Amino acid sequence: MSERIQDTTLPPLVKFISISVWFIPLILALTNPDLIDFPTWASITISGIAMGCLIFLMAVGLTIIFGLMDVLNFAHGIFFTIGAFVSWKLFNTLLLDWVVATSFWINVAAIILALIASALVNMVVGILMEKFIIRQTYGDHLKQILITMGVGIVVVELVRIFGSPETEIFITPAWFTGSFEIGDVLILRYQVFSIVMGFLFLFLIQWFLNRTKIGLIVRAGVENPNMIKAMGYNLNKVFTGVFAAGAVLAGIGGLVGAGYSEAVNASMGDQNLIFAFVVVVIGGPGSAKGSIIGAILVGLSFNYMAYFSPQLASASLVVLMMAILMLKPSGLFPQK
Amino acid sequence: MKSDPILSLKNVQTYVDRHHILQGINFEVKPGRVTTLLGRNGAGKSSTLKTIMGLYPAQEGNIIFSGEEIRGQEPYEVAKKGVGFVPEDQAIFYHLTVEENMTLAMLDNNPETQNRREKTLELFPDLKKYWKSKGGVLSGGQRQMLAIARAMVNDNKLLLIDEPSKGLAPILTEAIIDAFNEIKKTETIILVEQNFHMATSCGDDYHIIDDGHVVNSGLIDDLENNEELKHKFLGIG
Repeated sequence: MSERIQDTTLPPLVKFISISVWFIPLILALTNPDLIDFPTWASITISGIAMGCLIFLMAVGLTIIFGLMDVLNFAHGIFFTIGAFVSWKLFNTLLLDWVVATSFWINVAAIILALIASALVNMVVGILMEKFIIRQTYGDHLKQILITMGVGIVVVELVRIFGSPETEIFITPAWFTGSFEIGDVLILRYQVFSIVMGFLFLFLIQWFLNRTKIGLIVRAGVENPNMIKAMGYNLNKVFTGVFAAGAVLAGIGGLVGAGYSEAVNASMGDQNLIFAFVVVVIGGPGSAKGSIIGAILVGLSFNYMAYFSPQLASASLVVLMMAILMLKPSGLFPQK
Repeated sequence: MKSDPILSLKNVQTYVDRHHILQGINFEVKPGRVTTLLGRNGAGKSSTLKTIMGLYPAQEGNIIFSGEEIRGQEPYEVAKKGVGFVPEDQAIFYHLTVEENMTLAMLDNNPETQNRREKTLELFPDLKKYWKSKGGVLSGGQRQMLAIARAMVNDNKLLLIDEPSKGLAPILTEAIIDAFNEIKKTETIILVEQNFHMATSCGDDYHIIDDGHVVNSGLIDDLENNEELKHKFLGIG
């Protein structure tokens, strides 16, 4: 059996860590209500999954771009920021009446329009960036890091000039600001929306990768790009398409993220980029499945630790990443 | 009757990084024949195939395929002109099923290629058995069969096959020889091969490459009886 295939099976200790991230707090909730009671555990868990789905939208593009194109894109956060700012601008102007309306369907229509607008803007920016900047850096990681970091800094400044230099309030569509209860567990509607968006796009990505010829080319290209070229496929076109798709997904993440935090600022993409890189490392480069599992693990670890000890929330991600990498250096589901 | 070569290489020079790998390769390939490239490890045989395919760009010389210059073209353009490639490491996609590997290989999904795929699978029945299995679970021989089958599904004029017998059991080597004898009825083959038995079993012409040059060419039947040449360049005998 191939070593590569064996590599996709998870060692028992990795499974144990993956399960214990949420299971240990559950045990605590059931046995030691003074430390954390069950409704609080459930709320934090839902919040962690929602955060994971949000990070997934950003990380999945990053991981496929890295897996297929071998490009380290430190400017990926700009697409998240652009998506958030395009939605913020639309929600504050053209779509304001639809956003403040309490009708679920009118709110959904506003979200869909913002989603289309941010997708279009990010698609254009993504295509231009791949064709004129990223293409000059293929095969040179150092160049990629320096140039994409530079692009990131420039775009963040442009967002400050043309968007806003301050942190602005993001008007979350009215219906989605509410909450509901199941038993004693309080669930925010917006968290459910984030989870639905994450899994909806996971489903669409998996369908695309597994059921279309271009998806097949992408999956094969992640494993061996030279062979794809030798089989008669123009990989440059696929690279441009994948880069633009990654930009669009990150932009959708920006829309969802802005509603999640009810605020936008020019550096929000960079803050989330750190989470996305952790997810790429944990999930294994090139893997959509690894991204969703990695992102949910990151979301849960961050939220549980933020409850028990807020100062250690970010440190918990480093510990999680170290534990998984020590046991499985190539990540949970490596595609190479 | 003298037929025009399907491929000719004239003074082809290739550098990989700073290494001058091909130092003026010259040879011709006649249509409908199996041309074998022989030589010691590191002589430049595999690099010659990669250069023809465009994976290693040639810095100088001419590569004429079916009367057209293909030097400087991208690998996908060369492939679309009707050149199939089976690399030394097979390069099958481990995370894709056998079916997906074959689907990917079919540049056009029309009745003609579907028919060719069925005929190919008749040559390699094991692939049908593992149709829904991932490429990574196949044995070495099955992977080689899949790699060859992928190159056969398109209407190629020329197949470049790199060391197909490497690491295979003798019985599998015989199966692959049978397959090549079937393929050569319709397609021209350039075969890089260290296994002299395989080279002589299905080869028609040969070129010996040494240190980035073609040092000897001729009919494979003549080479079989030339002990001096075999000893000098191939280390046989």
